[in-house]
Amino acid sequence: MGEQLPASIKQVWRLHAVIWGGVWLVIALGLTVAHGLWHWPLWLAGIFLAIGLLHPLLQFSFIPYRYAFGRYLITETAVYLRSGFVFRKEEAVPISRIQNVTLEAGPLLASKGLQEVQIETASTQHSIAGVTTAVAGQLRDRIMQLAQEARDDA
Amino acid sequence: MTPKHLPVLALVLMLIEEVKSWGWALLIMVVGLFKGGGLQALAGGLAILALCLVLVGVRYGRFTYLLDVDAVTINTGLFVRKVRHIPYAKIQTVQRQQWFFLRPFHLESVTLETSGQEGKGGEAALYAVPLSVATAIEARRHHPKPTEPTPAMASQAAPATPAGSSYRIDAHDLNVFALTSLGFIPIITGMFWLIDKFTDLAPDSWQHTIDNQMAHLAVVLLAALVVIVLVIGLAVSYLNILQRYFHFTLTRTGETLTATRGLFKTISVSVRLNRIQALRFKQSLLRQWCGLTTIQALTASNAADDEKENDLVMLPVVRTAASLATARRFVAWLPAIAPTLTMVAPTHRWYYVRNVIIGNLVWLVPGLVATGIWLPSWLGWAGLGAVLWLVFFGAQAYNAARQSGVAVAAETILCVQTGSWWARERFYVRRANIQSLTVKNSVWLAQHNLGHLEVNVRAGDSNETLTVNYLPLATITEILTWYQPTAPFLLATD
Repeated sequence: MGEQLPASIKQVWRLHAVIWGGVWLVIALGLTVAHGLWHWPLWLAGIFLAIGLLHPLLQFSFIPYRYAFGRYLITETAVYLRSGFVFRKEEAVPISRIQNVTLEAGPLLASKGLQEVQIETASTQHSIAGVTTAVAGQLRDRIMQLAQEARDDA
Repeated sequence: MTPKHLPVLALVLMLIEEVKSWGWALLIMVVGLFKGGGLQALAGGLAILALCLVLVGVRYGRFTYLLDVDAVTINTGLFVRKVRHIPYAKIQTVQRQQWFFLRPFHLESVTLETSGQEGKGGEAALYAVPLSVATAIEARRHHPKPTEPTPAMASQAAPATPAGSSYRIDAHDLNVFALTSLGFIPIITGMFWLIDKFTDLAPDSWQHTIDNQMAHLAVVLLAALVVIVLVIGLAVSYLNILQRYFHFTLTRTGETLTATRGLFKTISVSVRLNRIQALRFKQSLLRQWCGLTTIQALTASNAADDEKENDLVMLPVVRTAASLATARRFVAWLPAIAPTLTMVAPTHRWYYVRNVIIGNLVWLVPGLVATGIWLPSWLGWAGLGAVLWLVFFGAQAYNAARQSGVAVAAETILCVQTGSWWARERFYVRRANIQSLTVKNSVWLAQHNLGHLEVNVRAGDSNETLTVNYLPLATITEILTWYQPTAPFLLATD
């Protein structure tokens, strides 16, 4: 039940993991240079090198899991989000409680024509990791329209 | 109309505030002075005081306000001139504070709160203004123009509100409230900490004298010292509560609740009923034994009747049996009878204890191993400490498990009960004020048909999550469908 995220989100996540790996490696490289110049301990660089390999690896290995079990569903009255299988989480956000909707796309998401949907209530934030620009636009319009129509149950 | 300056007494209040915010720096100076810093520390302290004076002087000079037809206008700023307009209709709470030294002058400080979030100018303070200012603001706030659109959050009208109602704490109740308060715990802890730190702070010469005297003190005298600390702690806590809640009065006029209290500083907070997000019925272990309850209101704005807390104390102390009926005189949507809660099953309570113990072992075990390697002589004490720690937090977790429960109390009201720090907290929330619901679960819990329920409610500027763990999935489904009849409840469809 519910919609799966578009398949291209997996590429975004992979790229994201690669970039993180790059960031850690650059730090490790900097620390190696610092070792050469000012005799900073070499194990500092070693730690960041290890992080630089492990972090992207972990992210990579979780991409299929994250993709397979992430769902969202938008009905006339509420937005439902769900994630995970081993540890599961499900959120229900009635549209009448939604204060604002933000569509956001960094360069990675934008390059795949995707947008992140952020939903805010008076006290909580929820997000749909990435949907196609067309779907995101429809979503926003629908939520805003419903939010205007909706009157809380009383 | 021309904007007005604040009365001169406001300068005093502003200066107190400013010096308070520099308190940490002054404290360092005082410690420095004791440690023999002498002139440098003194000069530093004086420099800070001078800076405060200049800052406050400029702020006072540039501060003007005007009660306009439909908004309060406040002008501030020396280089960057700022003009703020706060429409009466958007004011969520009005807080009035009157220090005893303002009383003869018929002045008071007024804080206006709008629902703008996190100090982004959501609050405005008028120091030491005439009493007529707050009265005028209140009057205009209560009679907004009929064309004013209802804010989305305020769209729920309370059903058939009876006419005004009021409650005033009597001497007996106030006494019981102060006696059953656990406020002495931080005070006593603080005093012991101070005595302990005294040796670090005091000049060496004092310390020597004291050490010499201490050596002569018998155990009996040390015990007497402990007793004195306890008695002073209890007395300070008791008197502090007496003066803070002196003449506590709660009144409802139309759709506004006003709570007034205080001896030296009279504080009056008024909140619109529709801003109340939830009610919290709180009982510490001590008050559970005495059959007493404290009722607080969680509000959407900072209805702070205290600097640190966002929650408005509605009824400081009331007999548990009469609590719901008394609260209902002020908040009409409360259910008439307390619901029967679906509690965490006794067989599942140990999960709470297990989680806390595992969570603490994660750092206790490495800590003990490290102690064993580097400080082997301390291992016995560290082990004992670790066991006591686990017993203490395990007991807390067991209390939480025993108290946790949930029920749909009436057609539109959810009742959630949680336990923490020897206390029981029961929340009544209207469906319209539940911002979102979260259900959590794992592969293993699914086999036992259990899950965790999180109810999100706005409190002050942020979110208050009411969590009940290890509830039957059937109960969770019932609450989810009560919240959203169309909820697909994806967890159950695997």
